[in-house]
Order: sequence, then structure tokens, then C-alpha cells
Amino acid sequence: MTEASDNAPSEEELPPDAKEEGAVATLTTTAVGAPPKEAPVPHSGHQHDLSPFGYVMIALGLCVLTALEVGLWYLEGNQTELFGWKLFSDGWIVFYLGVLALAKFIIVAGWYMHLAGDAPIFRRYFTVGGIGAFILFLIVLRALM
Amino acid sequence: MTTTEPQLEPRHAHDLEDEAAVGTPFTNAKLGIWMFLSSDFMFFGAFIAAFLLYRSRPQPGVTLFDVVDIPFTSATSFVLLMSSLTMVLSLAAIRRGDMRRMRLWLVMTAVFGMIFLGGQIFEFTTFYREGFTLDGNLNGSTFFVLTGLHGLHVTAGIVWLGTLWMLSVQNRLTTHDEQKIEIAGLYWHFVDVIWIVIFMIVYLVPAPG
Repeated sequence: MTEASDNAPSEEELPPDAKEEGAVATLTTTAVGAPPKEAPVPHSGHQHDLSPFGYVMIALGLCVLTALEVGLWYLEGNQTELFGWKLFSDGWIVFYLGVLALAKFIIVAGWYMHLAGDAPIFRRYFTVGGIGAFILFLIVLRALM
Repeated sequence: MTTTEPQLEPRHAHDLEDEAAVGTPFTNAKLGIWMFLSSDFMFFGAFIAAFLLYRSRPQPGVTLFDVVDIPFTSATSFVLLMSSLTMVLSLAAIRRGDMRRMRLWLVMTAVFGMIFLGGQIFEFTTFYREGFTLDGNLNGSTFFVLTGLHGLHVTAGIVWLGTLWMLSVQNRLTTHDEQKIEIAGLYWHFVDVIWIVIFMIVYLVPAPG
């Protein structure tokens, strides 16, 4: 047995997914002296990567959403009505701002942080963090009120 | 009988463990950063809640609404948003094996971060001069602690990016280390995502009353 193959983890030591996706195949082939074959290295996020142009387009979208947010701030106190509803009352402005911020949040987390295409466990962690933050938010409000 | 000496390519010898892990849906390092971000999310949640609570109560002296400069803060927010773009472009570059572009985008991200921090320091200085201070009232205390903590996160991110850039210049960061960039990127995007929430709640939501 060579030093290299001694160092290689046995099949039992590798996680199940690694066995399935070629990590063992690469090591075994190399250890018996066959031409080293480059097994495709699977990556949980790569297949969902956008092109640089795609990322720039997302950034443009984020700029538009930010511009809308700032525009809403200037509309504070505006008395425009539609069917008797004051479109830019404080309550509605908070609602619009919430929707816009949520959209920006989802876009950055989903595509820039690759949560949309990454392993579901990361999405769960982030969601748990978000829910935890919201619960903590309610607890702090309740405790201080 | 001819025996072929089994050979491992340097990459395999170096990355045996990592490569096995890449085949799994996650690595320990990536799981670790997500756990950290998840807990940091809750950390900011508590400070945002405290800010919101005291912002709705009448406060003596100068409050944020008397001094806030929305166009200026919008500009610095825009810069931070663009730093997320350069960060993701840096990751895309290292995944293509383009180390030169990776370094360029990494530096751009750090520069955008520094511009944002510079803006925050300028804003804090202006607020102080106008009487809106950390110890003036609870609105000031919660505002400076919340945005100051975010600023500290940005500072840590800049140091992190600077370290990665230096390692790359010294050829101690190669295309095989893309996960190091990915993890730094996750942290950086998180800082951006938190600012999206802070910018909306602290600056844009109309003043009570």
C-alpha cells in the first residue's frame, strides 16, 4: 500500500453523498495507478450560479427597489387618493416599505448568498435565524413595553 | 511485471478531505458560518426591537428625525448594495479560475465597504455636532448602538476581505480555496441584508405622530 492510498479515507469513512457523487471513485482510480481521472467535483451551489451579467441585472433591480424606497420617503404626507383610500398615508407607506425591503432581502439572500440553489439545510438555518429574530423582537417589545 | 507507482495529483493529496466534503451538501466551515449568521440575525433583531420601541416614545432633546439626512444615507446604502455585487463577482471569478479579477473585485468590495464606513463616521460626527448623541436620550442610545454594531460588522468584513486579498497576492489563496471566498461573501452579503432592514426601519419609516 502506498502512502497516498494509506491516507485516503476508506469508503466507510466518507459521507454517503460523497460515495454517490464520485469522490471515492476518484481516489480509487488514482490509487491503482490508472491515469488520474478528474471526477466532477459536485458543488451544491454551482449549478445555480448566474453569469456576471445576471448578477449585474440583479444589482440593477436592487437599485430600482432602493430608489422606490427613497421615493416613498419623499411622498410622506402626500394626499393622493384612489377610491377614497389615501395611497400614501403613514400606514400604507410602512406597508410599501416593508414589501420593498422584503423583496431586496429575498433577492440578496436568494441569489447573492445562493440560498435559492444551495443545500436546503442552509435555508433552514437562515429561516430559523429569521424566526428566532422575530420571536426575540416580540419578546423585547413585550418586556420593554 | 511492471508496476505503476500510484500517484496522487498534488490537488488530491492536498484536498482529500475537502473534496470528500464538497460532495456532501455542506462542509463544516459553511455550516459554521450559517450558524453564526443565524445567531447574528437574532442579535440584530433584539437591537432593532429596542430601537423601534424607543422611537415611538416621546424623547427629550434632539431625536433622529430632527437631524437625519435621507439623501446622504441613501447614497451610502447604495454603495453597500453595490459592494454585494462586487463580492459575488469575486466569487464568480475564482470559480472561473480568474484570480486577477477575483482580487480586483475583492478590493472593490473592501473599498465600497470603506466608503460606507466613512459615510457612517461622517454621519455620526454631524449628528453629534447637532446635538443627537449616544447619551442624549434613548432614541440616540438605541440608534448609535444599532448602527454602530452594524459598522463594526462592516469593519470586520473589510479586515477579512483584506486578509484574503493579501493571501491571494502571496499565492497562498488559490482556485482550490473558493470556499474561503464563498464564506467571506456570505458574511458580507449578510451585513448588506441587515442594512437593508436597518435602512428601512431606522431611516425610512415615517416619524411617529
